[in-house]
Amino acid sequence: MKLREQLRCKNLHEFLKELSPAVLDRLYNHPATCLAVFRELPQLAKNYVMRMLFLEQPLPQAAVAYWVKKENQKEHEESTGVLSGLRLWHTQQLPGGLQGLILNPIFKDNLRIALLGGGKAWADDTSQFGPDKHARDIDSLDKYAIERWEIIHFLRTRAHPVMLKQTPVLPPTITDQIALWELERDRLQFSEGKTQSYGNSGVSFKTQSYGDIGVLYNQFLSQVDFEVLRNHAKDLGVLIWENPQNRVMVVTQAGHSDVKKFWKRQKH
Amino acid sequence: MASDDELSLLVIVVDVNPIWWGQQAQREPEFTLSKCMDAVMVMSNAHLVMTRSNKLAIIASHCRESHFLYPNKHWKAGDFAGDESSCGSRDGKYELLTVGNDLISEEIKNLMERTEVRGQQTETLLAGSLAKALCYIHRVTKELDAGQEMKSRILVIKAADDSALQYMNFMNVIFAAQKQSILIDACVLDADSGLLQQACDITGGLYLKVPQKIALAQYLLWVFLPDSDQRSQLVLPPPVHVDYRAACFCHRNLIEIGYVCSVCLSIFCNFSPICTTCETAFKIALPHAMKAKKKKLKPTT
Repeated sequence: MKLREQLRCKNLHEFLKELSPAVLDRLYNHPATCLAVFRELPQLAKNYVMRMLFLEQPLPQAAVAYWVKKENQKEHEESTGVLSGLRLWHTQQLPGGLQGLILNPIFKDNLRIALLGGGKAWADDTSQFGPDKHARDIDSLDKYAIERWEIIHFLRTRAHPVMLKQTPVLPPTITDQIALWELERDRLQFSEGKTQSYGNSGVSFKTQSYGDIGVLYNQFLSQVDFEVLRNHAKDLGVLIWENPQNRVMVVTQAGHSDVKKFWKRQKH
Repeated sequence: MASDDELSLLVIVVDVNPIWWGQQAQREPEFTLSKCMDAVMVMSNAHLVMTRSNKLAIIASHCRESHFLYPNKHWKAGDFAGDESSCGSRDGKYELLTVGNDLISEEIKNLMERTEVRGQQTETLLAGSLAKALCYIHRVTKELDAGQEMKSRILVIKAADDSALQYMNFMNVIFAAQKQSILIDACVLDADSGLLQQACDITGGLYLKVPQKIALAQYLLWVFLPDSDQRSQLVLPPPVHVDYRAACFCHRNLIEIGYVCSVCLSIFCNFSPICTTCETAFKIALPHAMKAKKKKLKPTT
């Protein structure tokens, strides 16, 4: 069972409340779980748990009710509800007949361990493994990260302090433009491909196949040819990219055969 | 959800005056400086556990220096993974806490071993420690990301008595904290401290003189752990009656009636013809009978 960090308070509690007490107790047998569940509690409930963490005797319910100010009764009830629902505390009869409250002993012990020590380690003992063979030190990781995301990151980290106060830090126009440029560059991957010339008097162009991205059509001799082919490719829906000024266009690998057939027909 | 939380920085200033603690070890062997540091560490661990984004600093206030026990220069977030001697947690303790606690223990041991107490320097440098705490808070505030907010508070654990010589510095620190909306809490182990009472009153913090030192950890968790939002909902010890008497500038005695310089507002317990702070000469019209007695005083313009 995974406890994802993104789970909001309500969802986690709903989930945990459905589990049976036995399962919950097994869950609470790990300091890590206790820590995670603790951190998801409402603030007031966290304080209650901390106050009771080092007590061995139950506290009278009436005493706990006195902890909170009168005007915050609602928060008090919300917190007590959550703590009871998650079975983090139990009611217990005190000598003298009053109702008392005491923390779930398994939860209490394991949260204490997370806080102060003792018990078993959370993960296997890694000291046996020796230095990490694939260890990357922080500098190389930084460099790697920066190369992937260089320009925007660069600007962000060196932003003038005044800019830092604005959110978002960089004007969105700049960020968007740089991101677009980056994507444009990524789109064209240069890989080995065949070059084919389709030539005949008056009508000719060149194609170059790039890996699995697509086929680049360039060196059209006339604008008309370019437009005819381009329109056809667009109608088929296989046109990836075009640059009318340079008379260059890119068509998908799959679409390329169709466009080739079309052009052959046009020739005649 | 974590990014919505407001950051909370807690700076704990612990009075480690070796003379007081030495005497304390003989008075009550069951509560020594080690036990006190244990209680402080329970409190600081609890603070870090409450919310992921909580921050912490601990300063030891000695009679020779103020020293940061945590964080300090030797500790960097990613470093402990590679260090053979301190390989993080070997038990069920949350790793961040293990590393932090080990560091604090190491630092306080070194501090107590290397500093010597000489001659007249027997008083805890509390005002200086508080000033350092304020500077640290200021620095962390500046390093925040855009849009993040932080609430800070200082918890002082006081052992030895107030130092009259530090009165001025202390008051200046208190007003600076008030300006920055930084709360000063005080947990007093021995004698009541007028200065800290004023600090708590002015900044909106809590003052508590612990009835039983052995239960220090419990008092810290019950009273000083909740942050200011949570405090508004909880029932906590009421404010004490504060002794607001000022100290005269000449002897540092607390006085109720005195003389005030009309230029710089310095306070004196006895009349003197010249203000020692701003060097204004006073002209005072004495009743006729007195003039004959006080021949030495020359009325000046």
